Amino acid sequence: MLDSSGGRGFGANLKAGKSQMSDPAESIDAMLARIPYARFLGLRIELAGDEMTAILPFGQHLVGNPTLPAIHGGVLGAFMEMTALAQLLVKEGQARQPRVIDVSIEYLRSGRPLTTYARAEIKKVGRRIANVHVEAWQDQRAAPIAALRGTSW
Amino acid sequence: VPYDEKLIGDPDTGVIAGGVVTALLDHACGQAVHTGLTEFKTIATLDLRIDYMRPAEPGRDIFAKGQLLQGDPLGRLRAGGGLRRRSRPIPWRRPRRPSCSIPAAVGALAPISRRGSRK
Repeated sequence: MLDSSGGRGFGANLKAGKSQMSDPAESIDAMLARIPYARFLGLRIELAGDEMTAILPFGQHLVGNPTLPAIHGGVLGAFMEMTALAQLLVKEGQARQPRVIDVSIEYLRSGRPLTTYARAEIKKVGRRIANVHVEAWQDQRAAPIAALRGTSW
Repeated sequence: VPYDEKLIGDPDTGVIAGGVVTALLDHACGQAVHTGLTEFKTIATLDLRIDYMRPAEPGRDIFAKGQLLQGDPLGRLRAGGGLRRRSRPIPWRRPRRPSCSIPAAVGALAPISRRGSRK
C-alpha cells in the first residue's frame, strides 16, 4: 500500500523513468536505503544482470512463533511484497514506487530460522496494472516456503 | 500498530509499508483463531488475501479487527479481518463508514497439529 506521487500509469513511468535511472543496482540500493521498513526487516537485494534475488537474513525480530521457532507469516508477506515492488523498479525503471492493489499469499511451509530468499516474476505489465508472482524459499529453491501473487499500479 | 517512523514504506509521503499491514492483518486473524480454540494449539496461516483499499494516513495508529468465521472438517479455521482508523468497534462485514476501513483481509488458518494427533 504505497502511495504514488502522481496518477500516471505504467507506460508513462516507463518513459519518464528510463532517463532518470541509469544503473538499476544503484537505484535499487538507494530505494531500499530510503525505505525505513526495508531497513527494519534487514532486506537486501542482489542483482545478476536483470535477475534479482531478495535476501532476508534471519533475525529474532522476525519471529512470529517462538516455540517452533518460525518466521512470522506477515513478515514473509511483507518481504515478498517488497520483492515484487523491487523487481518492478528494476525491470521498469519507474520514477515512483508502484502501489500495491491486492496480494494473495500461499503459505506452503513454515519459515525456519534461516536466511530467506525470494524471486519475483513479472507476468504482465499493462498500461496501468502489473501482475507479479513471487516465490520465497530457504535452503532449497525447489521447496518454496511461500508464494505471493499480486497486482500493483 | 502505533505509527512509527521505522515502519514507513514510502519515504516521500510517510505512509506505512504495505507489509506492515499484511503482518498486522495476519496476526489479527491468528489471534481471532485462538479465540475459537478451547486449548492452546500451534496454528499456521495457510493462505491470506489482502485488498488494499487506500493508504494508511501518515502519523496515525492502525487498528485491526479479526473475526473467526468458520471451521471446516479438516480442522481448518477461517478468520477474516479489516482495518480501522479508530479503536471504536465497527462491524467487520458492514463497516458503517467504509472510508474508515482501510484494507480487508481474509485468511485461512489451521492448527498445525491435526485433531487428536497431539494431546
